[in-house]
Amino acid sequence: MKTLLENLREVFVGVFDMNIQRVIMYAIGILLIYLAIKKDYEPMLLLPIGFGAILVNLPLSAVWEHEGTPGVLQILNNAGIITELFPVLIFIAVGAMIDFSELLKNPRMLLFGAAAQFGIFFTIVAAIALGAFLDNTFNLGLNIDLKVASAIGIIGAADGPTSIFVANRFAKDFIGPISVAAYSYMSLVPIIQPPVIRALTTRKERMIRMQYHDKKVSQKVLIAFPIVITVIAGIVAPISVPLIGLLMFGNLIRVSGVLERLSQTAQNELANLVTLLLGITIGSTMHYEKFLHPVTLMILALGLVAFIFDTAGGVLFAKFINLFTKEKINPMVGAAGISAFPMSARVIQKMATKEDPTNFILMQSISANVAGQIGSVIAGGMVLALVPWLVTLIG
Amino acid sequence: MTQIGAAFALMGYGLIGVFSVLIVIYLVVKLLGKIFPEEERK
Repeated sequence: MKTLLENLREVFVGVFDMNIQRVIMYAIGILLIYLAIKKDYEPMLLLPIGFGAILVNLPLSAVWEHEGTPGVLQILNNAGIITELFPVLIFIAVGAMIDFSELLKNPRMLLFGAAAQFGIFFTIVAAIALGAFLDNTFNLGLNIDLKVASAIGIIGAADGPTSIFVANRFAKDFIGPISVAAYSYMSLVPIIQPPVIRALTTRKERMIRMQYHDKKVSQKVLIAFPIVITVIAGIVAPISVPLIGLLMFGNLIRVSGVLERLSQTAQNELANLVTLLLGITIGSTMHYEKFLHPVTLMILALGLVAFIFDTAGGVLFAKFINLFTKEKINPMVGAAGISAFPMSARVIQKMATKEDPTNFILMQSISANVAGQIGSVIAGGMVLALVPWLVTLIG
Repeated sequence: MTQIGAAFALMGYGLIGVFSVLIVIYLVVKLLGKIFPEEERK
């Protein structure tokens, strides 16, 4: 014979399953939705992520699993995140949206796409050092190893799909906070970059004018570019092919001139549909047992470090190049080498206009920004290739 | 090798790798520009 309390527990199982951790996760979900709606911070991602976080933390988490049967969000997670399908599909859409012609007019800007990935690698070192320090000082048992540190550092790619792709390989438990940090800081580029740039440049440097030659890039070059990049990346860093290959496939559709319908579909329907599913699925990985962890705070802090050092890497590299070249580069353009497109380029132009209303460096910034798209994917590929090898060398 | 040593190695190899790939792409783009010359916009 069941007691009254046991009967009540069965009927009101949701009420009895509540705890403070779930309430904290609802607050976090609501905060993300607030930031999306009120502050316009990456609303396409943060709103679904916020709602997914609420859904998965409801008592019983039936959207994730119920009585041994996978729920709808777990099915989406298994099909789209674990298999890496969603981030890769997003890359087709991104490729179809990118116009590489500005970069092809000014290919030396490619170098900034490499320099501005410095934050990724700096943050990996910082994550291991900070993890070891916290473990030794406060005995937190964080155990940040190279794989987890790499998944944290890749936030500096300033590229959501790359972050998700790498985190899925190296730190599945932290895919939620890593995605939230990546998308949040991407939307905060207008706040993060200007103080870093101002700290590293003089007013005179920020006023440097750059010549712009408006040339029409041959259609043949536009078509050859995605094919050649895919082959080069495939030979040098084969593990990056799912990312760079699909990015370039999307771009080839765009520039081919004969697949306008497919190009439009990739840019609109595909991008919207996958983004919708990606966001809510990422949100569903934010169960309180995984999310309310000291490492989450570390991820949020180090994500900011990654963006700061990306910016610094780009600016300092431009200043370094200026030591050897006659035609000076405005060092602010280096900061646009991060992948947050086109926000970073706009921020740079705004800063240039503030110093000198007649200085126009938007096109050069866009070139560097597009180079950042390629650089971030290559950096992701390097991390994916090098980490498993380095792990075998750790004693 | 320690974890921190591996992280520094990753930084070194990673940055060299990213720069190398992008320099190769730069050279290829320059080559493509030579094969298919750009046109001055009218």
